[in-house]
Amino acid sequence: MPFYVRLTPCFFRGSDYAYHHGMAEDPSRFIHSKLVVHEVPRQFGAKPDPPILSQFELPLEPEVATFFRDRTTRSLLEEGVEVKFRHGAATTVPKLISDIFDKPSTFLLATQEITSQLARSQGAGNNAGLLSIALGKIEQKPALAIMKLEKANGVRVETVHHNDGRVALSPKAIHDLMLTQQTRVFKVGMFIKISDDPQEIVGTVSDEQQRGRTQIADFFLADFLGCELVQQSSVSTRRFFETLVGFVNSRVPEVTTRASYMRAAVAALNSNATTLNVKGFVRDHVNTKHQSELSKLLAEQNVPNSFRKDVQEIKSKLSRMVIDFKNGASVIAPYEIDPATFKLDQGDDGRTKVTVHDKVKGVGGRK
Amino acid sequence: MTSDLEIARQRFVIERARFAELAQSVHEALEASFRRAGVAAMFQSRAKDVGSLVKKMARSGKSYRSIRDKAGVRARLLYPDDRAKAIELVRATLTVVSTDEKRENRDHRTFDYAGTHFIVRLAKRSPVCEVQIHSPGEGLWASVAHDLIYKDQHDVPTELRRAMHRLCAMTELFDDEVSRVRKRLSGADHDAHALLFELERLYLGLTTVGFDKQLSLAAIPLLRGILQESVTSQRLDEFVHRHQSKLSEVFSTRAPESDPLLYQPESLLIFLAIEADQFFCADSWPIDTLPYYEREHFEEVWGKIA
Repeated sequence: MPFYVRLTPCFFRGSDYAYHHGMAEDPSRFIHSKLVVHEVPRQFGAKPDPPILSQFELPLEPEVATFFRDRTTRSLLEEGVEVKFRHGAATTVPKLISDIFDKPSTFLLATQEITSQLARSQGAGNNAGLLSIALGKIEQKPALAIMKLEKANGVRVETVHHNDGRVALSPKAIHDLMLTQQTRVFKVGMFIKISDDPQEIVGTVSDEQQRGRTQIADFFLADFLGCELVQQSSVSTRRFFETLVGFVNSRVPEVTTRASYMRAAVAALNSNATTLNVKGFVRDHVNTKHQSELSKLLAEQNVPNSFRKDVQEIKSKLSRMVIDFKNGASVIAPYEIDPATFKLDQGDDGRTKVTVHDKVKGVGGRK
Repeated sequence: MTSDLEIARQRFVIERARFAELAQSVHEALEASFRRAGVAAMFQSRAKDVGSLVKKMARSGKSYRSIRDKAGVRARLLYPDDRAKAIELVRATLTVVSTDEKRENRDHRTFDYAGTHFIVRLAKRSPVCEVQIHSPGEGLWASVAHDLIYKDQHDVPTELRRAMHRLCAMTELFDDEVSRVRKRLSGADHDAHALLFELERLYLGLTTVGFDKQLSLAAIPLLRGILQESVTSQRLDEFVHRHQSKLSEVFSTRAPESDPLLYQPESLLIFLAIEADQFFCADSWPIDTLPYYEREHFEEVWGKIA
């Protein structure tokens, strides 16, 4: 019988849980109790090297723990998307995560199995890396964070030996690798058990390597973690667009600014990039005085930090801008119209003059 | 040595560790309470030396039971003006058995030590502990004068006693000057100082880690621009109150050695700005004039905006 964990769609900004419960977990409040690091060599050829698994837990170095938390926070707040465990996933990671929450004493063994699963999931194209897994709490809720760091090929991580012969990656080597920037953080997953119900686990995943391309690499999201996105891309795209339209019409009095925001949104949604980072959009295209308010509104309306674009549901709205006047007149214009032939001027009295300076092509009913 | 003194000595040898624990507990309770209220003070605690106890009994004729400073805690305030608040905190934190407000009983013609002493209990049936509240000047006076004239003032020549009183007068003047200068610096003409006093009060309520005042005074004027609205005492209080648990975690889970700039009162100003409007804060960050403060790092530390 396949293992199944129900993931409440939640977490950070844009979560239904946060929306309905008025709260969401903050990754910066993750307090570690255990942290273990394993190494995954590059998976070359038919018989790739097996992972180097730490076989005992070593004391947590405060600087490493702080680095881990800060980088996890940055990655999830910038790029994090809500995920849920996928029905019938072949990977055992969902069950292992649930087991760790239920029985923290299984932590070390479970993280070894999670690392082996990553080795099986990734291909020859993926760099050698370290898999750091930390167990802790966020405001008293059990939480597990998984961070995949990639290190330069050929850099070996020293090991240390326990009296009984077991090995572990050297804390000093890990400290040096992480804190001297010899590693790059690429993928992060965080899972939180939000209630006593053993099945209430929420997840957020980020993939800094995939910026602007697919949202999260499939091998990491589906094959390794056994997850899928909570919110469909078309829904995220529609929510983003509709929230922006609502904001523009209710909170931005200047017509030219409204038009500029809408043009930027349409350009971003129609661009070749497959994903849209909401914070980046707000920072690059929205005036400072509106940034915070729009950002909060997008979060309230459940728009994720970053989403894969799917404009199917709003395709018709992306081709032309419609300006409706109180007197009943409407002006329809393509977003990419030449500004030399189309001008909007707003007077001090709040009224706006539209100037179209071009040859008339035809006159007819509303299109 | 009389047999009573020897019995008392032997008893205190056995019981002293318990009084040391009591002093430590009172110390911790008061320190936490002062920190929460933003009252800056240095704490010391101790169990009386066995020899001192015996000598005090011999000198004063008091019984073992009536020696009430077997456990003692001393709080030396950073600012003399905080005395009233400190007294309130002692009363709110511990069960006060008696109070000796030495400054109230002073003769206007003489100068003498004017600390505030309490006899307190941690719980109803626990032994008593002495708590002393000192201003900076009183602390200085007590540490200098105690061994010289306190115990054997009859042997001190008049001329020397007069010199000691002059010293005592100077410590009183010192306290008054500290208060006066602090008040003036808190005025509108000295924005950075005034804001630092507010931030320092709240910062000391969150951590005991010291900070660099000169760095704060240099950074605060440059950081004021990262907030759109003015920073009032009430706004800071509300912010810290609202995020008390998060701020406590920030300062308790990070090592000051690896994150030194975090351990400055102006961190609170930065967190307030990030929480209020992260975009405005980023746009107006004084990157050229304050290169050592990394905004991105403060954002990581602060995490999610409520």
